[in-house]
Amino acid sequence: MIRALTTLLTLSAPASEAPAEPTEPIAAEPIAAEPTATEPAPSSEPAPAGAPEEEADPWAPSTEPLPSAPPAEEAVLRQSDPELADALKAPKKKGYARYASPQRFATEVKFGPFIPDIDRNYHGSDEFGPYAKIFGQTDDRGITTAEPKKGLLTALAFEWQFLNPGGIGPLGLGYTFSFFRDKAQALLVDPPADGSVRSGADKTTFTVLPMALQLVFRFELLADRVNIPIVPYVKGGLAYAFWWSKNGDGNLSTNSMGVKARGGAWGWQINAGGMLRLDFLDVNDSRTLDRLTGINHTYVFGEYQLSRINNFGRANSISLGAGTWLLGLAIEF
Amino acid sequence: MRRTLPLLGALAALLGFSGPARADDPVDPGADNFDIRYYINDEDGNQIRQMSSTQMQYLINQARCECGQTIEARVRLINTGASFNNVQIEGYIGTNCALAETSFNPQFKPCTRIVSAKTTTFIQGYSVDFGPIWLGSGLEDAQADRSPAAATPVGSCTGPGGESGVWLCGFFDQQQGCQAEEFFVTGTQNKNFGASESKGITFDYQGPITPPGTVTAAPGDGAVVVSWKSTTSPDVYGYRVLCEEAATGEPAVDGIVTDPGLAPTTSFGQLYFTKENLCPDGPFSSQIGPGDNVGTTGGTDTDGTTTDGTTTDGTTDGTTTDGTTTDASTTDSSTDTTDTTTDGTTTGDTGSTVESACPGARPDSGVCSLKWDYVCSAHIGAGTSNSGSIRVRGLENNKAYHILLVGYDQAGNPLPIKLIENVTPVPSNDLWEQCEQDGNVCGDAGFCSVSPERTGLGALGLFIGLGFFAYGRRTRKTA
Repeated sequence: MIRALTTLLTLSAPASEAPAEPTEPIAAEPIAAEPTATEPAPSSEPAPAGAPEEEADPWAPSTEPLPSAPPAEEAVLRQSDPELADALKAPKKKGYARYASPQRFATEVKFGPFIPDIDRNYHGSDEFGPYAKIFGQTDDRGITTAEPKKGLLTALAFEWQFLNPGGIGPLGLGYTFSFFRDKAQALLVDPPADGSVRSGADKTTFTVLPMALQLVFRFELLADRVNIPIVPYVKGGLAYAFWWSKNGDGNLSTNSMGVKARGGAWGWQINAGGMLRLDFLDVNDSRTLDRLTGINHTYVFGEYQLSRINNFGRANSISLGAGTWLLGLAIEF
Repeated sequence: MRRTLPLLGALAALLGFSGPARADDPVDPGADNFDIRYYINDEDGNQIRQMSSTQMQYLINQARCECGQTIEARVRLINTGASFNNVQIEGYIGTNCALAETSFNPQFKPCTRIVSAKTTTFIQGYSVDFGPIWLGSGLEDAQADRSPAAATPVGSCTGPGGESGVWLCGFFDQQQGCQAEEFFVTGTQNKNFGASESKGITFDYQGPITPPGTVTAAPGDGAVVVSWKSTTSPDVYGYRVLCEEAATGEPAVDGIVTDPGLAPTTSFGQLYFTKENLCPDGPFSSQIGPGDNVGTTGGTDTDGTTTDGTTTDGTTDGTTTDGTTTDASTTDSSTDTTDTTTDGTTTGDTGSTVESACPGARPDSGVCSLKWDYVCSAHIGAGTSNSGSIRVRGLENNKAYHILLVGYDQAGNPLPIKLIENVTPVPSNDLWEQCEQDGNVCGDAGFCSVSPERTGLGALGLFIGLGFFAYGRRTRKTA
């Protein structure tokens, strides 16, 4: 991935961004020395009598010392900068200096199985709660036989890394936005004795948009100093989730009180996982990527996410949290 | 000088015989010298407006023909300062009028004649009202009065359509009767279209001929979902669903269709037209085909002959031109009204529903009358898809309804596709309702309902606060 990004960016970078070779001015050396009177020009033909004095051979090597070239303007300026001059006097390190752009942000895209834990609040006598009754696995008649299969949770995260205490890893403030939707045929209020218990025309949907504001710490010391490309991390913070449910008409559902099915709930969310820093796949390309784009590192990662979004246990509150695994890609820049 | 005079005389004589015609020499009028326009009239024959190019293409359908809603044609000689021979000019309405006028083949029926007058008559302009029947039908008796108001058409307001308009011919050879080569306006000249287009009035007296093969109606909560599917591209521009209460025959939903009037300007193909909807009190004029005002359209199969020799087969009884039948019971005999969801469960078994077709003759009431009062859905365009569905809302649960799917072409000619009887909406529970039924498991709705009963928020706040405290200390140290 790094190589592809680097190649793409190198090809598209303007010529002016390419590393320029030092441009020392070339001293204007004389092409040839002036001919001297002591060195007669070699000639196979004798000089005719009465001919004027022979000219010196203009191609003969000069015996006089050549004038030295004037110093380049850059060299003069360099000498006027004492710090740079001292730096140049210092013994050079072996190898190339490692360039790293400032690292301030990170972003993630991740996916994982998810099902909101709405039935957590169900304490009835039936085998399944309302969410499982609607969205659960069913038999041929549409009767729920098992808990719902998990759907796909898609999440985007952005993080501001405001601190790197002791260089052990960045501490940041992150925001995560997620999306999940489930749908199923509605249940008939008076199902027939035999035949389907589901409506043929009414499809109900449930949508939840979980969000989280979290403190994030990524332990990057091993990856930075010891070349072990593993970055463990933890996140923890406040969560809030919008939710709504629609009926077969495509409108927001309403209950017998006329209350529409939409709202939001507060809660908390923690994430813990490990990131595999991909820079080791091609170190040179990763450095080029950093130099060209400012992307310091790229990762694949996996994490466990646990959330409880139920208005912190308030009675008569929906429960939208769940525990799940997520896999994704991340970059730091 | 002696030599010069005879030369000048010869030159003068030569110029006198072969010189260019003067500007005021009269000439025979041609197509470019006439301005022809069409106007749509109301039920009283009064002009509503000049027909737009869209109206020229999609306004004239079977219902307007059966109602005898007249069109006014105005023909005027354009005054360009030129002088014309005052020849006899005759005007006709129809298709292939030149061939019909000169052919001895009885299959070709002569067109109705709208005018027979000298050229000078057209300087002031000449207008005539004619019924849409004349766009595709010839005269039954060419020897009788050939004017649109008096003549009897041989065809009817059925059958495939075509393109028609005013034809003009002049007796340029000073002989009575128009020869084929004397027709200088051939039905496609008018000012209703742009200058670059040469089209006549398009008339279409036949509904779709290829309806979808499968139609189902699934009962919902106060609603019915009607779905259709076809293995081929149906010849349908749009669909509407009609509903009636099974017990009373009354319309199920009110106020879906707003009468677009006699000269709609937009939204062609979004509603069908029948003479019962367009002229419920009877035809506006007598310019209709024989049998077009007898009973209802569906029961009248009047075969006629158009002016171009093709038959006008009245296929309003469900039989298509390709020999297949649109009878729902035959095209979809194995289809029931169950539906299958994505998870494989079979749903919506309505059990007692019956599929049938409307009778050939439209009744006076009920969904099969196709009256707009029974329309219970919005227009849904067919597009390029072979399938579609529409949800009919506003129905009562546990009450049986008869559901009819009607397709129509862009001119608004309808085709009743399938009648599904005794569809009964039933209540269902979505998640929100199920949560309420199971003890308000989903809690209260709303966006801000945090309770101080638990201390989780305090712990979280402490966690976040510690983070900012650490950051603050770090910042102070750095400073």
